[in-house]
Amino acid sequence: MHEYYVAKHTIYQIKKELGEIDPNLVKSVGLKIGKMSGIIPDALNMYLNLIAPEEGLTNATFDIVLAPVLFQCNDCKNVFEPSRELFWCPKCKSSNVTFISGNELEIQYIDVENSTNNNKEVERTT
Amino acid sequence: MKRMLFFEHLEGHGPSEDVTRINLGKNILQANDEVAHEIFHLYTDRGVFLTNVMGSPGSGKTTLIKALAKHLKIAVLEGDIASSVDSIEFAKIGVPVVQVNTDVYGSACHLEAPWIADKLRLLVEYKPEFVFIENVGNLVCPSDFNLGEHERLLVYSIPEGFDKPIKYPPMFTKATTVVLTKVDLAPVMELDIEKFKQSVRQINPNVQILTFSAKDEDSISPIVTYLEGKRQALLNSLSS
Repeated sequence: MHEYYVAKHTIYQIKKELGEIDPNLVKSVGLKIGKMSGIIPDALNMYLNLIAPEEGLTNATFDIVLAPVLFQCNDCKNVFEPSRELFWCPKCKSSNVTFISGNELEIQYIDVENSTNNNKEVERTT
Repeated sequence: MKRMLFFEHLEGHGPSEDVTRINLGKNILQANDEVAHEIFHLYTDRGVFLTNVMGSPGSGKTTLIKALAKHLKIAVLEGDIASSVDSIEFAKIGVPVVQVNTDVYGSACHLEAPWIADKLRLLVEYKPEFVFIENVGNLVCPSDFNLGEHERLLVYSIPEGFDKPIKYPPMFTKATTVVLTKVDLAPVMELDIEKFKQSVRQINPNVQILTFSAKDEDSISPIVTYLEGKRQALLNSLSS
């Protein structure tokens, strides 16, 4: 439901990182979305492709990578990815588990096309 | 450039030669979190305990906060898509309240820190001990947005059934407290409260689970005591 807002934030953050670089030079953007974040990747992608051209990112494609949900068992320290409905440790069957990761909403990288006049700025940003 | 090369192997595949890769690993909601961070420090410094109250529409968020208002010195920020129905209720009982309607933000299903920061700065001037943000009724979206709160309180009612924690895990993994409301309906709904607690603890073993019934005035006392304890811990951390 809130994919539109996350897409808006994504584009805002990308443009902030780009600084002086022309947004048209952005070729692709890598996003890492946790499976526990409540975001539907396809819906996010749809909104990104709608908003990006309006904001000047006319050539950008978005690569969304899903990050797994990880829990750790407090008894046997086993790290596991829970199945759809079972949140207990598959190794020792303990239900004393802690959520570790799976909430990620991250911009992993921005690929910017090389052009003679933007190299300097890219150097500075990195 | 050094940083770029260092992270290259994590991507699985490098960028092609005619592009330069800017590696970030940055939170998409950074703009939200920066404002939330500022609010958190403002409230912490003033010793005001900020609670983000979340839950489905009709779960009893307003009723719970109204019951707390009888025992605690509070102010309320009301978040709804439209209308001032809830804020009028609070104004009637003399609680400082600000209404935020998300219809001006495209009828958003949640609150974001930049939308409410000004209102939270205003509410703190009423010198309350507790401020409650009543989020938009929704069991999914508000969980992703940090508002600078000390406590994430999830209000969950008996008629919603015992299986929702495993159906809507994001909200339940991020909550610090779950208040189970309408417990007087448990016999009618044939819902075992212990079974519900187990299903919450399965995905969030550290969560505090409290129960409340609007029909039983005494049932608010443990929640009042719990929140007072939490605020006292905050004050202690300030003086130490």
